[in-house]
Amino acid sequence: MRHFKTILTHEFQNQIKSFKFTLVLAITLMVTVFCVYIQVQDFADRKEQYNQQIERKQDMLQRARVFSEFGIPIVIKPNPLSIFAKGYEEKLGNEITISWRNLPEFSRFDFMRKSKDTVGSNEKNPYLNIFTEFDVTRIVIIILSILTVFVAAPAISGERENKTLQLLYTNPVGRVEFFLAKYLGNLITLSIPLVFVFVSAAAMVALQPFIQVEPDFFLRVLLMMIGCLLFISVFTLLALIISTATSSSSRSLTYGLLVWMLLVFVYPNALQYTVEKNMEIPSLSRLEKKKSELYDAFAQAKDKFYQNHPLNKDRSYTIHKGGQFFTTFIGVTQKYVFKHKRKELKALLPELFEMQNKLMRAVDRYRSKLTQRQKLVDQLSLPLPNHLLEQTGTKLANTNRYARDIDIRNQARRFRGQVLDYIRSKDGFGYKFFTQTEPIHMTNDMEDYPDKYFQLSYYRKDYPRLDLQDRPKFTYKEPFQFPVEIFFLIGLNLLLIVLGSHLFSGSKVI
Amino acid sequence: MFIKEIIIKEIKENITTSKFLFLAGGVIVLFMLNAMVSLSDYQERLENYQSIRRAEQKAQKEQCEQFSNVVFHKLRVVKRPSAESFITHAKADKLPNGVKMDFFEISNPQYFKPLDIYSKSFISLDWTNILFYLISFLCLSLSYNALSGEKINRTLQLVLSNQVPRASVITGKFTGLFTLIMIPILIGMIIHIIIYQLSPEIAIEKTRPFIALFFTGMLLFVALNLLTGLLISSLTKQPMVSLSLCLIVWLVFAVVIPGTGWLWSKQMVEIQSVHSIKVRIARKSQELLKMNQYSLKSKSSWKGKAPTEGLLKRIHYKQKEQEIMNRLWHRRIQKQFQQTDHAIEFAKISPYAVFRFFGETISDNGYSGHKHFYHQVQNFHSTYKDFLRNRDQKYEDSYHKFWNESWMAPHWMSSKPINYEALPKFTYERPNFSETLRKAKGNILYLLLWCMVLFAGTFIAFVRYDVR
Repeated sequence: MRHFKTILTHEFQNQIKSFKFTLVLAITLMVTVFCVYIQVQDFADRKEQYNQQIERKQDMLQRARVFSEFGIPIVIKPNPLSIFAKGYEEKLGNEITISWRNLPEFSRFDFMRKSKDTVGSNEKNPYLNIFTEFDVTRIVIIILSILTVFVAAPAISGERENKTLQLLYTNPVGRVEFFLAKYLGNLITLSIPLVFVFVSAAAMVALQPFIQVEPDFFLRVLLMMIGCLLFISVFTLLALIISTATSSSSRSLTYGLLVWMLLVFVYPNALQYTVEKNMEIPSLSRLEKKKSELYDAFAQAKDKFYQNHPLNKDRSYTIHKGGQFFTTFIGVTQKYVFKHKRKELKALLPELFEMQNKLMRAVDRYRSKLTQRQKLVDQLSLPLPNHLLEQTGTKLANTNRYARDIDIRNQARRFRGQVLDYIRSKDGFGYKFFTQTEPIHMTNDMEDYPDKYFQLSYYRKDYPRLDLQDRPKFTYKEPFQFPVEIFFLIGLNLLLIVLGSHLFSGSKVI
Repeated sequence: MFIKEIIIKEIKENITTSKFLFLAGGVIVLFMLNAMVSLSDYQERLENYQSIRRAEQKAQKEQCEQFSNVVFHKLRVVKRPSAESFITHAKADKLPNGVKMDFFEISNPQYFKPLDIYSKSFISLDWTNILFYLISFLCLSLSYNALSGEKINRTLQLVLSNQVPRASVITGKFTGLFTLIMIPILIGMIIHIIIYQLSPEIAIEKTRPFIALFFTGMLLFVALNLLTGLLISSLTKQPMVSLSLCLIVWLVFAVVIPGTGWLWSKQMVEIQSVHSIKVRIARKSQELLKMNQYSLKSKSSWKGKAPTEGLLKRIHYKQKEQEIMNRLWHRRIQKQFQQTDHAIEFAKISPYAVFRFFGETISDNGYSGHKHFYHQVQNFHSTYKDFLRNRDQKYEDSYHKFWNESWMAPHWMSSKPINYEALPKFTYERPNFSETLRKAKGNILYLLLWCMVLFAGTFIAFVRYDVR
């Protein structure tokens, strides 16, 4: 390894002084600054929408007059790391309503919600789906990888073409030594634009006054950069292997580009396309049917209750049977009606929860089927360096399916348990579910109520609000998922180093 | 002069190269695959569309027992899938394909198809994408060294030492390469058309004019790619440099510009959030309510009798409120269209993007198709409303008042049945050939202009080239 350092330094200096390196650096920087700047502006819009959602949440909490109205919307804050790896950040929604009525699901799967998602209720313009998302990882996957091929593909074939390889072998230089030095020289050269990409992007994100980065932001960015470096290293090795097997630099570049096209465009797209065309999306109609069955079963249980406990219409002035679940009265009612409603709630609330559990299980089954396709695509993409980098990026940014979907829903489910316990502890499923008038102050006849009770009727805005100061607070704990894909990338690199060295050792000089 | 010889030489030189054979074979296989996949895909989408239509017809027929039910019935209107989606799929799966409407309003566009929110965005297999990625790559890889390769081998000096006009060299090289590249494309397209011809589900004769139109644009697109390669090749002396420049041009024009247009447009066109629209509606509604103070006594006996003054005020208020709601929601959708149009306009800086949206216009698929559908839905909604209003005039038991309160308003509407057959039906009409041509004309001219500029550039650069 006597000449290793000399060859490495020579290769690095050669590359760094070349026009193509300046071009690579300029293009990468230009695209990064442009894309990150606009992504940051987009983030500002998302943050603004988030702030509006928080205001709405506060308003919703302040408006609750009885516990039947009580619900806490969980709003997931936009994640600045999504600028680096977008993943599912904007695809699944960011709000889950936690209440006795709703399922702890994003609105798309909250089958207890009356109105379903439409385009209008989604903040994102759906027509922009026709364009590709450009985040930092994608810039590396598409642009830096092609530029890597562009820089590294002629590295050996060029020397062969110029006959400098022959000249070099007149000295006692080991072939493995030469290959490794070439590889490292190119990798160090290419790591410069990569570092520029990450430093400029991280600075542009972290310096914005409206973005508060978490303490581990830079650590995550650093790990992402390491992932990208390993990815670039794979492409450098592939380009060098092609360069080893070809005699002219333009030929190695052409083959290098073909391999790039195959890995970055053809294989991932063909795979996604083939899987999507061959595995049908499970129909929602079965889930809708299940929902209707469960609703019908609940309606029957309700009818049965009313048959066993008929409501005397002559004695019920303010209340009637209607309403999908439980009709609330909020203001005042006769003691008789209150007792009847409380009995109904006591009898039917467990039925409702049971129905919700069954519905949640049905939703889980549907979702599991729905995700089968993407899981299969992911499994079949496992050897692809771009897939490994994507996984690394989204895991570190917490925008992958686990963090953005499964984990949030699990946390929401646990939080719902706390909210229901809180409602119970406040007698929220007792009289406070319907009204703030304590049962001892209720009268048998509406006329026996003093006037002040009527002034606080349902439609009056001045009806006292619930004191919810001690309500459970939801804090979203972002998971830290170490990207094991980094090890796959390291393995892939080692494999290619061995293969490249072996091929180069056996290759012709001329 | 010598053009024929140069053309033949160019074809002979490239036709046996592994690069050409590999890519040309790939192109033909992809065209065949596309024919088979798009056929089954079209049948599947058509079945989904027809089943929704059937279900909707059944639901609407049931409502016809009572006029007021029809007024409040939420009609599902769905876009018929495009038979030309093989030209470009245009990410139609990711876009809404229908709306719901009743007498009072049109809903926001909705998805009446299974939607996989977990699926990643991908490049689908269609004619536009085959040309966009593979053919453009093939063109550049064949043309990058057409001149610079000859410069370095000194064969150009030899050619020009004979009395071969430089224009003939350029024209000959261009024509030779163009003819060569057209071979796999034509084979692929013919196989595709034959497979379609054999399928009973597709009326290929209706599709033919659109294929011909696409073919025109495709010729320009191939020429454009070749001319880009030739221009770069005539400007450089080393094949390596010309290949690198071709690569960068391809990267910028085919990947970066078309992929980032939306980022700009998001900054240029602001879309009001759903919340702010709701707040605005609520505020306007309050203002209206102040102007139209009314009181209603909720007694069952007044239902269905001549509307009281209070009720008339409420109806007026509700109608005005509906107008405001419709206006604001409609404006939001228009803004979404505007934002997308801006993104497309930005992307069209690149001729690659022009070609992509040209394909979309011809196939009436994706965003272009959806926008067309939405405009037809708006027209249909006016017709539907007018029809119901006219029909209502004929009912004696109606007080001829329409307002959007389903729990109350039917009491003042007719309860008589309505003939289902007489109801206007929505049928999506794709733009005919002349309309499509009118829309696509600009794109064709733009591509033509690019070709002319590139040809002129190549010619000037080559003429100025000092052969010594």
